[in-house]
Amino acid sequence: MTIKGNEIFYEFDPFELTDTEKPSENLSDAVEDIKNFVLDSVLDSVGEARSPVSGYGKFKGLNKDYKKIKGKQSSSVIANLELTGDMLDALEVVEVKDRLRIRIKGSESGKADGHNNHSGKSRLPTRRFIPGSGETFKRDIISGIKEIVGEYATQEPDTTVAEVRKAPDAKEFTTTPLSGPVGTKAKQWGDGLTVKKADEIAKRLRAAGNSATVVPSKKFPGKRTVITFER
Amino acid sequence: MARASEFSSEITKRLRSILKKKAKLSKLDKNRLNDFGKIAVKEITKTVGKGISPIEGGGRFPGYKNPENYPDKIQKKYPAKRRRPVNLYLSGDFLKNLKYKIVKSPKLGIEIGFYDTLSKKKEQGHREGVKGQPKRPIIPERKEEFTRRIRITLLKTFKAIFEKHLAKQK
Repeated sequence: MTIKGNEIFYEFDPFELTDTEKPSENLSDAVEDIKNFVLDSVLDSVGEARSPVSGYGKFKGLNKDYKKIKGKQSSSVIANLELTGDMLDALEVVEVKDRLRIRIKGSESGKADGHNNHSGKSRLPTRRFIPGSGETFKRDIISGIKEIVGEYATQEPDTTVAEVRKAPDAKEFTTTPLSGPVGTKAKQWGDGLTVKKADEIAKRLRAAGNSATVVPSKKFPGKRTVITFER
Repeated sequence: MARASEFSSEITKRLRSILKKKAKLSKLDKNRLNDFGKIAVKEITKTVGKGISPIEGGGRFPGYKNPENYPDKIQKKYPAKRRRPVNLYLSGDFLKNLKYKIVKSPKLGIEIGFYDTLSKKKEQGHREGVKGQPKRPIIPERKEEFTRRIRITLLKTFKAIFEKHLAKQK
């Protein structure tokens, strides 16, 4: 359950969520961009009566009686969760330690739970716009976050295998001879790589006719290295 | 100034990388650029229609300061106007006048803005917040940009249009 006092929220680590690495530079700018993007995307979805939470789809339509009531205050009679506007005005994305939290805190949290039903006590049709436990945002929001992180990621050179060979001393692509099967010469193509980066390098090496293998790094736990054996 | 180049630095940078690989933008015919312009205007008005700023970091448009005065008192003249959403819609003329232009200088591209005098004034009023109303700018100026969500949509649209164009050329 993601309710604490008068706060209904969903907390997430954007980098963990998108399986990306924290940018080493301009981290606060990246986080600010992610905050803006998430808030804007959630508001945009809700604005067209669609859930920004994965698996929920379109919000259930309003019933006739409520449509009449709503029509007096709002020019939009779809289920966009905006009658007075106070609840959506209270929606925010804030940083809590190393994580981000999308939340409604304070007097509007009751309405927010009425729609989201994180408490399980609401009698209203569930129109979830803040993910509950075990849930997350829909795909286009996740991919948008990924894109932002990608833009802030340290720019790695778009290296071809030929360029890699020419630059054995490049940080990401050090070529360290290893012991291998008899008659072969092993080369290590970088160490401490993310799975994604290692796969990318291996793909390029394979495309150039090598039998590249991605293996766990001995030096950096949880990271990868790429090895090729040449006759 | 009530107009802004849609091709923000980021979009331009990314478009260049697409273009480098395939062909030159100058080969795009006018119809394709028109398609793109229409979609860009639609995306912006759609966002404003939901009461959301199309400018990065703008969030939701703030509510009316004294709703008993505005919009309540003008409902006789404009029966459809309500307190919510704050969508800059009264007669509908303002957003209808958001237009795009194909520009050739300094680079071929699309420019989006208000080009008639009255709409320019209205945009300025929203931007600066006249009569004590909160500021609700809708056209990015100087270092401002459209929201990333809009930029992503436009980029996807451009890619699709461009690919169609290339397919037609083959």
